[in-house]
Amino acid sequence: VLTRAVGIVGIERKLEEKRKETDKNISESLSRLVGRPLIMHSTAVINFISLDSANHYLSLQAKEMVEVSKSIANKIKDKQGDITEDETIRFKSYLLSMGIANPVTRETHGSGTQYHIQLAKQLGDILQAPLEERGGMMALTEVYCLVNRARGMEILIFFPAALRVKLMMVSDKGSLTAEEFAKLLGLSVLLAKERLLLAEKMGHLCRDDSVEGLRFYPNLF
Amino acid sequence: DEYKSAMSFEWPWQYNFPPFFTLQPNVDTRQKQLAAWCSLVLSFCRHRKLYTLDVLEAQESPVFNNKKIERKLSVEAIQVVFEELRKKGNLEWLDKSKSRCLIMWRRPEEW
Repeated sequence: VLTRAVGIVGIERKLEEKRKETDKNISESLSRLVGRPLIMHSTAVINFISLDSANHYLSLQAKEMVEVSKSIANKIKDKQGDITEDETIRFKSYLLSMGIANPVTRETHGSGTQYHIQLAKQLGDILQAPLEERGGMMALTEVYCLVNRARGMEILIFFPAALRVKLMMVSDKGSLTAEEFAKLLGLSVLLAKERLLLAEKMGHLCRDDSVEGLRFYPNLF
Repeated sequence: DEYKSAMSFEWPWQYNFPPFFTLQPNVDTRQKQLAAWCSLVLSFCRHRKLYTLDVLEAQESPVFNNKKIERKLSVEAIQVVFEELRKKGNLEWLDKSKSRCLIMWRRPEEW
């Protein structure tokens, strides 16, 4: 029998331990807020984050969480001032972890969520270099892949950052296809085409659609 | 002959610009493109002394078919150009299926 955790099994076991601890923390904190002991179905909360909410069993667990969070929300509303700012923020991150948005509570008690603020900062750090490598622009799906691959099992479900779309002109190559443009800028073909179409929309480029493919020219018209 | 006549005709710069032969999706660009097409068709017909045009035949004529850059305006796009000429008062359809038309280098009111 293996006593030492190795490889993937070891990593999974560590994650599992960490998860249990988080569960316990959430459970305890919620109990404190509600003012009565709460029996949490451990793992259910966390699983709900990464799994499809259509999953019946997990949804049932989540339903219970929604009930609990509603009662807390009311409590916050009633006893305004009784609950510290810190507790409000903590409560918001619980709601977030369950995928429950509570706009009333969110708007009346503090702005934004600690989670999103921290996440945005973290994304800024992570994405700086890859963005520069790719000419300053990435598809959201690409960002998603990159960040979630880096984060391993604690993947992101919320995506707050909208990436700025930057316009670029076809260089003095005369004309370009999306594929050529992609190669030139080191972008994905999808993004390159998106940029070219945008430039066409703004009237900077025009198209030549022939058997040779779709080419973009500076708009000389 | 036809070749010589085509050579002596002074083509506008757009004629050698490949995007000229693709109907542009951008509204402003398309407007400028169609204006250039209308003026080209009229000056070409005047040069050749053409009074009637057949849409299918026209596609093979050098005006809509630039062999040098291997670009040809599609039948649909030719219809759009003709429709634009009709709106300007330079063209009248001869049949309901819009396959043949009268082309007027000058609008009736200009005479």
